[in-house]
Amino acid sequence: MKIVAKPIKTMVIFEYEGNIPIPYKFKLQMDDGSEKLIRIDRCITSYRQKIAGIDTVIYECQSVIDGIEKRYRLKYILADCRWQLYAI
Amino acid sequence: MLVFHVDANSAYLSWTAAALLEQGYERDIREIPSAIAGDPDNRHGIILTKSIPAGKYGIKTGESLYEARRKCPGLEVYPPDYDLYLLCSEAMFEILNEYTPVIQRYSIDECFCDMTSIKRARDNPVETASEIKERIKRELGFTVNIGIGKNKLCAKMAGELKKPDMVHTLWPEEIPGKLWPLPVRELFMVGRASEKKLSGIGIESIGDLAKTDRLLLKTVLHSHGLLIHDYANGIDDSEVTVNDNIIQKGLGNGLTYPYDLETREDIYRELLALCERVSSRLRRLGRYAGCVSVYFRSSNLSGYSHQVKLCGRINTTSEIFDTARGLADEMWKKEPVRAMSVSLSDLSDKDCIQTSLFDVRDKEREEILDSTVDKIREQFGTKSIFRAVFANSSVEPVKGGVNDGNYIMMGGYKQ
Repeated sequence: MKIVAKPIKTMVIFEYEGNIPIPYKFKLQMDDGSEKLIRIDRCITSYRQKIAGIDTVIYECQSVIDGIEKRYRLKYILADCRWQLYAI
Repeated sequence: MLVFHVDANSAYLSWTAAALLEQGYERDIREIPSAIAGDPDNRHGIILTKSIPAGKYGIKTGESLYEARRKCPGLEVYPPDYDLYLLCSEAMFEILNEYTPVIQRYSIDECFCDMTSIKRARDNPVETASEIKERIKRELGFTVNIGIGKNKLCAKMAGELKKPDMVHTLWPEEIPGKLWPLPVRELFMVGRASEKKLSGIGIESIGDLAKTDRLLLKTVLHSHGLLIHDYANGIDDSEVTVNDNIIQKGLGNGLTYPYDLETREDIYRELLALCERVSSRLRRLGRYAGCVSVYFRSSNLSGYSHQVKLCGRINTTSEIFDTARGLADEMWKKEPVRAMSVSLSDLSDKDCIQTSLFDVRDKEREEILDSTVDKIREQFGTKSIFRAVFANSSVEPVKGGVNDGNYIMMGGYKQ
C-alpha cells in the first residue's frame, strides 16, 4: 500500500453509543475533475495514530473498485474534522 | 538520582519529515541534504536545522541560507511550521508523562525526566529508555536520543554522545572514558568565548578541564570556571524542576524587521508593538519589573543597548512603553534600525511593591485596563482590541514571539 493522502468527501455513520464514526461511502475527485463514488463494503478495523503529534483515526477498509476488490486505508484527522484516502 | 534526557534528533527537520511522509511525500527529507530555514525575503533566512546528509556538506545551524546554498547547491529547504512542532512536542511530552510525573521541558524538543522514584527505570534504566525511544519512533514517527545519568548534566552529555536514535549512559565510572576525550566545546555551558579562554591556558579536552586546578579556572573565568569544572567532573546538583515551578528571572521580546526603521515614529510604533507582548507576558506571570532595557541593531549590524533601573515597579504596557521610549530616545543614533528588542528584569511579586511618591499616573486604573485588554485578547485573539495608533497602519498591534506567542522557548518557558 502506498500513501496518497487525497482529500475525500465522506459520508459517515455515528452510532447511538457514540464512539468513533464509521465511514459509509466517499467521493474521490479524479484528475479530469469528475467525482468517483466508492461505497465501503467492509470496514475491517480502525486504530488511533499520532504520527508527528497529529491525532488521527485510520480505518482499514475494503471495496470493489472498477470490478477489483481492493484494500485501502482512510484517515480521519480529528483536529480539522477532515477525511483522506490515506493509502491504497 | 536517576535522570533521563530525551532529545528529538534534528527536531524541526524530522518533525517536518514525519508530517510530509504522512501527506504522501515520496522521500524522507532526513535522508537527503535538506534544511529548515526562515524566509530570506523577511531577513529570516538562516538555517534552523539541517539533516545529517546536509551536515556532511559543512552546513551549520545558524548560518545564512545563502551560504548554505553555496556549499550545497542541491539543498532542499523547507519553511518552519511551529504549530506542527508544538503538536509533536506535546505528543512526546504525553508519552513521557506515562512514565514519570517529574518532567522538565527544557525546550521545545528536549525534556529532563526524573526517574528516581520509578522502580522499573531504576532496576533497568537502559531497557526502559529503549522502550520509550521505540515507542516515540513507532507512535510519533520521529527518533530521539535518550541520555541516562545520575544527574541532569550527565544525562544531557550522555544524550549528545552519538546520534541519532540511541540510548546512552554516563555513569560516574564512565566519565573518564566517555566524557573526557571530547573537545571542551562539547561540554554544556562552554561556548565560543569560554573555549577561547580555555585554549589560552592549554585546555583542549573536557578531561584537561576536569584535571585543572580550580583556583586557576576561577582567575580566568570567575565563578563560571568553577561551574564548568564541576560539569567536567560530572558534578551537578540541580534538580529536575517541573516547569510550573521554575522562577523566571527576566523576559524579553525582539524582532528583526523585513525593512529598516528610519523615522522616530516607525521606531516608536514598533517598540510599542513589542512592549504589548512582553508586558502581557509579564502580567501573565503575575510579576512586576524593576529594570527595562532596549537593544537596537542598526543596518550595519552593529548593536547597542541601554537600560534603566526604576525606583518603582511596573507592569502596565503604557509604563513599560514610556520607559522603553525614553531609552530609545537616549540612545538612537539616527541611523536605520534593523532589529530591536525590549527586555524586562529584576522581577518581583505584587506584595513587595514600593509605591512611589512621584507617580503621576493612576496606576490602579491602568492595571485594570490592561488586565481587561489581556482577557479580551485571550478570548478573541490579539487583534480583537488594539491601540488607535495601529489603526489603518501596516504594523501589527502586537509583535514578536515565535509563532505569534504559541511556542515553548529555550528553558521550557511558555511565552
